[in-house]
Amino acid sequence: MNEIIRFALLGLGVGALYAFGSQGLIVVYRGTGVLNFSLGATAIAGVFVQWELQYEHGWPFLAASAGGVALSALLGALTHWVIMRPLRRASSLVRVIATLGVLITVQAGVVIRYGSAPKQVDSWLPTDRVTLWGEVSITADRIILTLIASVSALLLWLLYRASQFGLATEAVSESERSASAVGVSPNQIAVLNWALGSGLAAVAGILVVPIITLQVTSMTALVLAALAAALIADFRSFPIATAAGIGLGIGQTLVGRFVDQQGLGPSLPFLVIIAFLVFRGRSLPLRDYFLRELPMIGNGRMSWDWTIFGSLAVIFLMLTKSPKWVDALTVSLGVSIVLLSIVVLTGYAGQLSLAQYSIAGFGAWVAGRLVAVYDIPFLLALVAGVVAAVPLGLAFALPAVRTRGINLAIVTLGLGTTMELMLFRNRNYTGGVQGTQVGNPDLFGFDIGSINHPARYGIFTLAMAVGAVWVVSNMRRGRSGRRLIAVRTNERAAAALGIDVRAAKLFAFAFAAAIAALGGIILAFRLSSISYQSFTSFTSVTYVGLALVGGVGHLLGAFVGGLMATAGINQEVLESTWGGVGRWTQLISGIAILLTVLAYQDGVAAEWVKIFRFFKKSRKWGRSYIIELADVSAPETDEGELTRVPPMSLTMESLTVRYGAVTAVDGVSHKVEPGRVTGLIGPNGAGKTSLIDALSGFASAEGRVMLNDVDLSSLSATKRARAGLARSFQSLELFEDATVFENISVAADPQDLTSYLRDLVWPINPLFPPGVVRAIKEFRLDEDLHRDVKDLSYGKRRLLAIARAVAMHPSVLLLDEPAAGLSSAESAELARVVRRLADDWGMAVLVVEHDMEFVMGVCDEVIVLDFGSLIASGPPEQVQSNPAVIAAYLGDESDDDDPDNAERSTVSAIGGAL
Amino acid sequence: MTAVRPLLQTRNLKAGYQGREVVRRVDLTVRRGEVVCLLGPNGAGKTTTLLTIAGELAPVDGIVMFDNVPTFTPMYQRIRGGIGLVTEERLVFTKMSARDNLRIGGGSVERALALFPELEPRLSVRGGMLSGGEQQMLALARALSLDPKLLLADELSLGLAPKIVDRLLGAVRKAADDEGTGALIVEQHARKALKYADRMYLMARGQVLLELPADEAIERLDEIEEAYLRGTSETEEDHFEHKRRKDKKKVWRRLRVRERELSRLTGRTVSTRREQDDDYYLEIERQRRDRSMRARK
Repeated sequence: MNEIIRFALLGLGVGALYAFGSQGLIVVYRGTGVLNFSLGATAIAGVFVQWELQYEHGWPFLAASAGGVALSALLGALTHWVIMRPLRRASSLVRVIATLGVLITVQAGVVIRYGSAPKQVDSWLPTDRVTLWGEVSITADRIILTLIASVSALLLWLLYRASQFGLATEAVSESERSASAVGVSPNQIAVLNWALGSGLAAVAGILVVPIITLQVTSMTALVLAALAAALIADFRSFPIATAAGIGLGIGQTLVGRFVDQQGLGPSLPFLVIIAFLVFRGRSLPLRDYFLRELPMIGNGRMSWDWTIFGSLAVIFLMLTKSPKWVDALTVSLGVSIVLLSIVVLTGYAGQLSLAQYSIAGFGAWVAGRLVAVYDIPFLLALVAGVVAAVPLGLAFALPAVRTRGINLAIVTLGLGTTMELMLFRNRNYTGGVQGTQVGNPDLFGFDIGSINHPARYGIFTLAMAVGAVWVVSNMRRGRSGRRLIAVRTNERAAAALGIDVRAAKLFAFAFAAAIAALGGIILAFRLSSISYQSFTSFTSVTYVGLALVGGVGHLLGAFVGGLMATAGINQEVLESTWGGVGRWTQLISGIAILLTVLAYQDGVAAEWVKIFRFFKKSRKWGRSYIIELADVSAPETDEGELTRVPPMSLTMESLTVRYGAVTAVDGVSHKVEPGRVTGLIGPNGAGKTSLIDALSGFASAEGRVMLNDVDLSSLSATKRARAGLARSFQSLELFEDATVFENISVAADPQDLTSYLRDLVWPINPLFPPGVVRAIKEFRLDEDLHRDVKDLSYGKRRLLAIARAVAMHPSVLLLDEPAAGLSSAESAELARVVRRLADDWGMAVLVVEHDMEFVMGVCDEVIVLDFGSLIASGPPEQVQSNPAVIAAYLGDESDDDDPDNAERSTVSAIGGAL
Repeated sequence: MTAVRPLLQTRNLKAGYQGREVVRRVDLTVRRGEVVCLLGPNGAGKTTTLLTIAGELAPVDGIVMFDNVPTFTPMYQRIRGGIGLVTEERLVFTKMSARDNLRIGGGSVERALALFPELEPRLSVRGGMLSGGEQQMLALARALSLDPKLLLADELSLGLAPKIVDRLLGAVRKAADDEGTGALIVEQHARKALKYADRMYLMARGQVLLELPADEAIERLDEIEEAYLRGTSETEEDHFEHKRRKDKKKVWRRLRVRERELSRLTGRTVSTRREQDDDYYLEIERQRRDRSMRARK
């Protein structure tokens, strides 16, 4: 028992550091909504300055500490001013990567000035042993540290709870716009919080460094672990974070002492993160609103002439250059393959994973162990490694089904770190001190080992890279690629089109894992002895940065990023042109990341593609970009009959939707008949959109929804869409980065699972069935198929949104304000089309609309909602003259002291007051 | 000529979102102690105008002047300098208590309660748990408790019961009468707003069409409603008009090049451009584009 307590007390030191670290993270997060990876680096810079002032310039401890803390605070404030402020509207991915750039830059700066050797520092706090009771004793500094951490938590709690500054921070964190509308400067608050958080971390560093030794990277790793404590506290509560930090520190030392599993202790915080995020059921605390902005993505076309030209150039270089260069090329290509997996996962599928290099390491581990222990051929091991990574990728995807954005990033980081600590660093599993001996890889007896034949291995790598690009390109252009893009842009819209969001995510993770594993194996087998320690989770994070700088949405981006990898081409070029550059490379790459992120948020490749496209359009090369409707439609048969949909009626029975205490829809029963257009009208906030949401499965509702005699009530949105219920959204929810053609084909594609596999080798461009062709013609989109959605005019976009829903060939169509923002001519045109959908196609259409002219012109029947309940239904003319309806529309005007007003303005009130 | 300097004056204000101009040539004036309401159909640019005056949007062109001083500062500084802002989103912080919500701008809670005593029992309730009317009262109380020289209110009444709207507009009127606060209110409910206002501006399609004293406006309201307030204004059509003009410019530029070429060759000045032929040229432009598309095919 005493031993347990002794070790628990020992853990207080690290625990205090975690506590401080989480406090710093929370301060910055609360002030700005940024997850600050650079906290450790800014803190360690302050600690080093303190060390220099105290030991080299003979300043007293407190003065030196003040200097150090001030420097950290200044660095924090500068980070906000120079980097984060210009990026305030950027995607969260970009912002995270920007803090990463700061981390690399600051760390490199510190290494240049102070070197990377660890330094022992004497403790300023007293280190005498204090006997608590019996045999239990502890050094005084641990107790004092714990006390300081607690006091700091208390002060922070008070600061944020009671002061004007705390109120302002709270306000800014809720809404920057509202905050500035009450006279709070969001910018000023953010700067103060950055400075405070960074200063706090520096204080922690200065106090704790005697325990953990002063070294550049020590703080960074510890701050990552402090994420766990911050997460437990919801990135809000300082006391909880402090308690959790100290608890983690204690738990870690205890586990390290009593559980005989190497690496379990240090990975405890990460295990806690994973468990916490996977098992916690409720919504997550992080601010997700800026996730809406996504990096631009390319169309996934591979230009074969350029590919062949590039490959030949690389082969030429490999055959003529010295091994040093060949190796740099091989590394760049290998890293490019790993980055390609990030293009798939983060670019196309929009899932931010910070563990791709760890997965690559896992693939390499499987392959390496198979070769070393069972002595199987290299190629077989390669395949085995790639295949083995797939289930791991699926395991990583499980949290993705529940969490999104930055939360997902944190979980994957946790998983990667755990793997690094428990697997890659464990000598029992990785072949002892000298690493895993794999010898020279060969292909069917032909030696391609990079030691003896660097060029052969290089060419093999090139072949693999080209193969990987080909597969990814196929995937992007096929059905699965369109599904991923749908999921990335908008999960709601994707589900409304019948796409199984979960399956799409699982596929993205599994596929990306396989590609990453391929890259990892190729990188690992360059040497005859593999050391898995290089597969750090931190490299995973760096690689996401490289992918982003290169262009995370473009195939080319992976290769641009690969150039910048450590020991890759760029470094080789730098070193061969300037001998003494070695110590500056990190600094240069850090600054390069920052500059690129500031200048091109979509990455370098995106800029190139823009320029390239401009030329393609302006010269007459762009032949392949035009998509003719005739080329993509299936051969026509008897048109008239095929376009008719199976007639189904939609019945709702006492449908009720509640949001907390508010009842948005209150016991609505109605039947929408096939071949008829039903208008749904009502004042703002009457529950019209809620009703549509409930019908299509986006809001949970009581009561029953039936399609013919099938009960849909318990089905998901995806299943309802597949059953023949399509909807459009008020906010359109188009897939902006894709073309019109792709938007429509996502809806027209059959929702099969086999296409996920077939697309990899043989992407099928859909041939639109006659129904879809007719829809495209009906909505006059036949000349715009090749255009990007973002280039369309507003009216066209509205039409496209409806056309997309119609392309699913649904029996029931729910339209949410289809005519909003259309000019009168366009809305008249739309009315004709909607009418035809009912008459010629036989759809049951339910239209929510404010434009009375539209409603009266097109509907067979109108139902009216007010305060969630159905107040009238019937033919348009009848509803129009219904006194209850008039009263509902007139709303507060009905109590007006002008009695004749109500009667006079029957129609005009309905038109005007809406 | 008024002896008093106007509190707020905009001159030739042009504003919009991200390059798309929504509002043009807006000249507004608000004097001390005056409640001015800004009416117009949906999409007329009322909110854009108001937000530009508040400083949330930067004007594309033109000047916003407070106390005859042209102002270019960001929104929070204008708020600190004596502008109150209440918008339809209610600007209430949902996670803070009502008391903290009142304190955050730096005003005194007592003053706010003096204006709206009905908030007193709700002070410790979180902003998100208040009803819509209470939230809007809270926002208005906060704005007025800072003693603003000018109050900007956007759709104060949206989604609120008539009684509460009267209460809110009454408070604005009272502040104008007692403290000399100037107020610019944007409203959908013309009749209600005009009862509390001194003057009105009517906006449609991004321009101010009409300025009238409130009493006269009430008299002529039916006529005004008939003419302007019905339905939404067609800014979307304006947008296409804009595009058409841009296309036209392009065509003309091409024609000018051709003319120059012709005059170089023939030594004579040739003009092939005529205003009335616009449609003809636009048609040509469209056909040319179609042709080039087909040619690429």
